[in-house]
Amino acid sequence: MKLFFKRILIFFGFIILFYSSLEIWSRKVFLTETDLHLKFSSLEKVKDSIEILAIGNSHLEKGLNPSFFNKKAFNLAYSAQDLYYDNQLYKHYIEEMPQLKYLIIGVDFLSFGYDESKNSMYYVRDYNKELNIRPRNGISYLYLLNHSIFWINRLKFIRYVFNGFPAKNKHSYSDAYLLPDVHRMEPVLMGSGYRATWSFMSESELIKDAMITSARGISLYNSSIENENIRYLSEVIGLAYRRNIRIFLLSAPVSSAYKNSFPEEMQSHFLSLINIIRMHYPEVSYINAMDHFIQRKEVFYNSDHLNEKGAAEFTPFLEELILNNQVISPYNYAD
Amino acid sequence: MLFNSFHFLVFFLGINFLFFTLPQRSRWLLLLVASYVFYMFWMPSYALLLFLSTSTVYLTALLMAGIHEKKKRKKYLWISVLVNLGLLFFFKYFNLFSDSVIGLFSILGLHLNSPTLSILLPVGISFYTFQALGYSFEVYHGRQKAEAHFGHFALFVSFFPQLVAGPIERSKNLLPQIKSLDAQFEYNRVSSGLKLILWGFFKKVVVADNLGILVNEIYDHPDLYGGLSFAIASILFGFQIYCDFAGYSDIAIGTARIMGVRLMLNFRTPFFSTSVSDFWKRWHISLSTWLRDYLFLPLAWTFSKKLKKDKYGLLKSNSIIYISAILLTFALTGLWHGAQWTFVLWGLIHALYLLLEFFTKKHRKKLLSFFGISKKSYGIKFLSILFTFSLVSFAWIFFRAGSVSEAFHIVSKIFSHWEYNIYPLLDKGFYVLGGLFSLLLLFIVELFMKNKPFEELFLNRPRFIRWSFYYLLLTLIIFMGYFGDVEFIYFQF
Repeated sequence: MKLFFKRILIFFGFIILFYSSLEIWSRKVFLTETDLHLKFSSLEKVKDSIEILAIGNSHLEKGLNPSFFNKKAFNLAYSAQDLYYDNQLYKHYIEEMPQLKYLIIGVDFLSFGYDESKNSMYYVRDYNKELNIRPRNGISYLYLLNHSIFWINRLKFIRYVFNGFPAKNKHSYSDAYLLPDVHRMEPVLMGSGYRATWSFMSESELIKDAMITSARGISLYNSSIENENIRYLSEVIGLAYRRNIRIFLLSAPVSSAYKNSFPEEMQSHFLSLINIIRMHYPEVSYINAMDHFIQRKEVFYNSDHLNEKGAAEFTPFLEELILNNQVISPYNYAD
Repeated sequence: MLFNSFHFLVFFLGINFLFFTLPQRSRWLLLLVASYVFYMFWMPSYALLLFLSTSTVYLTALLMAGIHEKKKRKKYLWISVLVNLGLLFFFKYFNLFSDSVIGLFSILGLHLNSPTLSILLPVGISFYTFQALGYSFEVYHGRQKAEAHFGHFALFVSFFPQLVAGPIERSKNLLPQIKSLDAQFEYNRVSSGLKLILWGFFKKVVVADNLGILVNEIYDHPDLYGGLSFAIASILFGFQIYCDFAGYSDIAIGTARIMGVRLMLNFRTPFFSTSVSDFWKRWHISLSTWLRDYLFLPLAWTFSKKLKKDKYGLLKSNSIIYISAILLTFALTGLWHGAQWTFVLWGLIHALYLLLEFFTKKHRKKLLSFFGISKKSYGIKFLSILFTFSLVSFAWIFFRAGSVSEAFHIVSKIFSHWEYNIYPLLDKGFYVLGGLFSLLLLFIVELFMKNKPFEELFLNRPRFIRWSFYYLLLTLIIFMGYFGDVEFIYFQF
């Protein structure tokens, strides 16, 4: 047994040493922080005065610019954030937001069957690191590996090695956040939690993107977790209701190419789940704005996200609906 | 609990620590509790089914053991068979049966309403019921002594490394090992078990799961892709399912070996088979031998008793017996894999291959001798491997397709629409390339392995070579492994 453990130690010793060196090196070359961290620290500064809070995934994060609200608002939606993390974030912050009056929860065709921990979103670790939110399905190899900066950037690392280790000017997310540049192609996180994007796609690019994005989304949809996700959402609704906070479920605008690439059964199944929730919680309003910018490709960053122009048009419109309580239909505000 | 989950790593380390700490007499209890915990991780209530199957087979075997006359033992064998197949039918085949009956009546113009069960299939039910039934048959034939110790027997049925996806063990091999469990911590055995686990992980998380991304993308969108894409996807699906299942078997065999239990070999480089019959000697060996012993041979024997004449029309009795037994065995082999007609068709296609092989044997031999070519020549061997591989890959279309009509749609696409469409795969390029590169490595290793087990591949090589190879595998697992939550394909069977 002694010999075995001695050899195991030597065998793994080499590999641990090798990967530790790569990890140290990667931490010098690549970003170690994520902008989720920035989002949380921005919220810390304004949470006392927030009246409108948005939670959900990137559809809402890119579709809703709080600076266009007249009331103090924050966009806590984040890329691929599922209903579990929406639930946990709301529970984490609710006590610290005494002024909160409106809660907007982003939902779309995939929300009820989506579990972020099954996807390879490395920043999931930050919910735990920053806010002590435990991983949805306990610890997994993926969750552990996502703590390694080398592992997250392993592809970039290969490219970096093949390019002959060029000197890297490591920029931080904070720099990008302080200096949003209108010519940037990459999305930039703003202080209000909104992620701004300036570019847009051609018609053919939009159609291709819609096909790829919807196919990927559908392949990740797991109907066996629908009840679990509905429970997470219901809990948020119940907690908000007790505090007299008005709740809006919002399906943010998407391109018609994206919407139409989902099978009709999936679309109607989604609406039936929304109906079930509204039957249990009649005080909840549902705003289906998916078709809001139908035929207008210039307001979309890609097939399922608004760009800065789209968000600037959509946000005041949404505020008008919310404040004047104009949500009258479970299917579409325009009905 | 999945072998590729972090939970299993903790479980595995804990169990092994306790196993080598505890005295020999308590080990069976540790492993029995561990096996049930392992199973209950998935759905606790379904452990009752495992217990029901175990206790029925245990009791009926004891009752059979007390009876000397074989004929009188039969009723207890029937109880065991009915309970186990009843469980299997109810949980796995009820919906297929009910849908098929409704479909049949609707053809006749009668519209029936039949209940549909919306229950989850108990994981591993096809594996543990078959293992338990194998024991019942052995006791019935008097080839196996009935086990008196319920704990030992329960562990034989539920032994966690092979509980949910095999190998389907024989009582003659596993039961005596379960009864002794006297292994000491031995360097060579433990390290060979760990090497096998490493190889299994490589097959699963690097090759199978990465190829799965490409295969699933194509098969899940039959209207989006052309014939060439489907031809490639079907070939890759063969490798995916092999690496998925053989990877599971390697991890299972390696895990058991560490504790001193030798499980049977389940795969022997099946893609180097020179004929379809050779393929079935190398693919899912524990199931194919089970079906040979408990289905094919008894069926052939029963048919031979029924046929009194030597010849019926143009066919000899022996041929009729072989045709009927093969068709039935392979239809049921297909059905064992899942409650869908696609699996039955897959089985029947293999039956057809075997029948063609059987009836053309003499003619092929004559043809080769006419041209003066030896059957053992490299050229013939290579062509045989390629031909067998093509036949097996074609059959995989029926195994993988969502429905029979979809399978035929794909086949027609392969033979008529030969265009290739890759843009939906572009964002998966890393996984696809990773899968293909690893497949190449797997191919090279298996070429060197031939009939040797993996852990003996580098046995007499210098440590530098051995360790370099293991480091390469670890690096590929870390770099290219797919760590999303992906179940083993054979769990659904």
